[in-house]
Formats: sequence, C-alpha cells, structure tokens
Amino acid sequence: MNEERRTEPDPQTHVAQAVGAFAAHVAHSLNNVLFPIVAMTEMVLEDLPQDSPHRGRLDKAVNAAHRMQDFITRIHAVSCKTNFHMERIVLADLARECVDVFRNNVPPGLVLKMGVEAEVTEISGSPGRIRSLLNALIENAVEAMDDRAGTIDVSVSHTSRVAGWTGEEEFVTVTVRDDGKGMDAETLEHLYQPFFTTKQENDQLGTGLGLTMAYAIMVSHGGRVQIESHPGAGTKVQLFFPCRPKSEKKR
Amino acid sequence: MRDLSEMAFLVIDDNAFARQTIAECLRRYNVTKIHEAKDALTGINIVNEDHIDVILVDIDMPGLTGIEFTRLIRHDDDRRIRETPILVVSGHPDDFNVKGALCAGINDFVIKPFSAETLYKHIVNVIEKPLPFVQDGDYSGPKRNLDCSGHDGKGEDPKP
Repeated sequence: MNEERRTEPDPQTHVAQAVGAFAAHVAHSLNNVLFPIVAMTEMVLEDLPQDSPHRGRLDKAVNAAHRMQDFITRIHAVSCKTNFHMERIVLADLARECVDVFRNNVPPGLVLKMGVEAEVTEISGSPGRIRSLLNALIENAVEAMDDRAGTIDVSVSHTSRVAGWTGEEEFVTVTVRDDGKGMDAETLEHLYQPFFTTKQENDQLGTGLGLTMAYAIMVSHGGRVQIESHPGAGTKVQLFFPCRPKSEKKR
Repeated sequence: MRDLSEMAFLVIDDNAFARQTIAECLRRYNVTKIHEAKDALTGINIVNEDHIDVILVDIDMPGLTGIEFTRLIRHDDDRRIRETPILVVSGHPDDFNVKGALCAGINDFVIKPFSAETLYKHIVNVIEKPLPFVQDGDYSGPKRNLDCSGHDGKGEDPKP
C-alpha cells in the first residue's frame, strides 16, 4: 500500500538493545554460578570453630564472591538503560538510607555528614539503580581519603539551572563532596570510560564501572552528572535529577 | 527459631546447581520434604499431586516463566493451591522483574546469590506475617497497593 510507512531501524538503538540483552543474560548466568559459591561457603564458615585457621581464607573467598556480585550488578546497570521500573521516590530518604549504612563503617577520623534541603520533593526514578549509584559514589569518596581524617558531605537540594543545560528545568540535586586526594586533569578525562580505574594503587580493588554506571543511570533518568576535582583539594560529584519525568514535559 | 521441619517445599529452577543449593539451604533449617522441578509444568504437576506448603520458583526458565507459573497457581480452582506462598528466587537484579512478579501475585522476592540465613528469614516472614489474600478483578494474590499497568499479564511480559 502507498500509505505504508517504513521505519528505518536506528543502528545505535539496536546495538544498545543487543548489549543490554547480552548484559542481562550474563548477569543472570553469573549470579546463578555465584549462588552455590556464596551460599555453600557461608554455610561452611558458620560451622567452623571461631579459632579455625581456615576461617581467614574462607572470609577472603566470601568477600571476593560479594565483590563479584557487586561487579555483576554494575555491568547490568551500565548496560540495561530501558528495562527497569520507575516510581515516585523521595531522594532525601534514599540518600539518608545509604549514608546511614556507611556511617557505621567509615574509618576512624572520617566524618560523614548529611544535609537535606529538598526534604520531600519527589522524582521519578528506579530506587534500586539510584541506591547502587549513591553507594558507589560514597565508596569512592571514602577511598579518596586514603584513611586520613576528613569530611564527606552528602547533600540533597533544589537547583533551578544547570550550566550547559538548555531549557528551564527544576532539579533535585544530590551532591557528594569529599576533601580527599582529588584527581588530576588526565584522570578526569577518562572518568566515564568503562573499566578505567586508579584503584590498583594501594591494593584497592576497583571495578572501573562506578562512574560509567553513574553516567548510564543519570541518562536513563533524564538527568546528568557533573564532577569537579583538583589534586589535593577533594572531589565534588553532583547528580541532577529532573523533578518532572520525561513524559510530563511539554513537547 | 521457627520450625520448618514438617513443611513441604517445592523448588522450581532450570539450573541444577541452583536447585541443589536451595535444597541445601533448606536442609540447614531441618527441612526434609523437598520436591525439585526443572521447569514450571513439572512444578504444576507436583503441586496437583502433593501437598506443598511453600513454593520457591525462578523467573527465567525455558517454557513457562516463574511469573506465568505464579499467575496459573493464583487462578487455580483449588483454594489450597491458589493461596500457597510463592517466593521468587532469581538471579536477575532487575526491579522490572520484581514488580512483574509482585503483580503476578508472589509473596516475596529473593535475589541470587543469597545465603541460607537470608532465604530462611524471607520464608519465615512470609509464613508468620502473611498479607490477606485477595481476588480483585484479574489480580489474585497477597493484598498490595500496586499500580500493575503493564504487568497485568494481558500484554506480553517483557522477557527478563
């Protein structure tokens, strides 16, 4: 028929969907493989006498398995930008939850502060994805302190304009600021590159996916991420979440 | 500690390692009656033939998915079968699947990998604090205030 419309496939969308499906498959398969390792090792660990010489080795195995689990979650978050459920959430509550978990586990001398201006404002988002993202950012900030004394500040506020953003928008902004070692210009250039990490230094284990995940998650929320950092002067990461979901915007 | 030793469990998972690991987790809490099925249809046959107290089902399986299985159980004519507690045990860290499963009428969702203790706590929670069972339009399952548009089983469920 003459009126039949042809739509050309968008090659980028196809590639993104294929990568997303592949990542979901890999995540599912690896989690299935990891499941007996985690469950069985933890059972053995629970049954071991407290003074068993095997305890330390098994602890390391369990920790490694949990790191693997975290890695799988990040691969999945980076690659699957479409197939997740969005709901109305209060970012302040979510941020407070993440900070509370870390507060009990930060090294001595490190102060974790929480400031909330946008107490009740809701955004449309995936709680699971945002929780992973905030945990990764706070973890980065803790590691940037290199076990020195210092402060990590997490705040949730309103922002009405973002530099480089066209059009009027209202954002709820989550800022994670540390006064740690900071990053040089070369490191900043590679920040969003998958598997780029500086954490091999000092025996830290990095996946190189934390900020790639941050970028992907912010894109999927119609928001953006900005990072400022200077060597020796700490790092500020800002996540801007639009107050209105995409579907409510004027065309 | 809640005694699970007299309860019958059905574990449905296409992955043999996963089935064995779940069974091992259950045995740790003195469960002895464990039925295993490698697909949902085998699971439905077992539910019809034996008394099952709790079902643990994976989502992503060849043939019927765990979500489709749950809908069939929740619309069974036999009330005892219809109201059997169902926990999804899935390796998909994807909250779209969590909502799809909740909207199909599951009682709870546990993400693999998990420890025996985590599974035990989820099971005990479902048994000791059951939500009232409701049949409301197309939905049959524990009472929840969820917006299930797109997850009501009328359209095609997105593949996990």
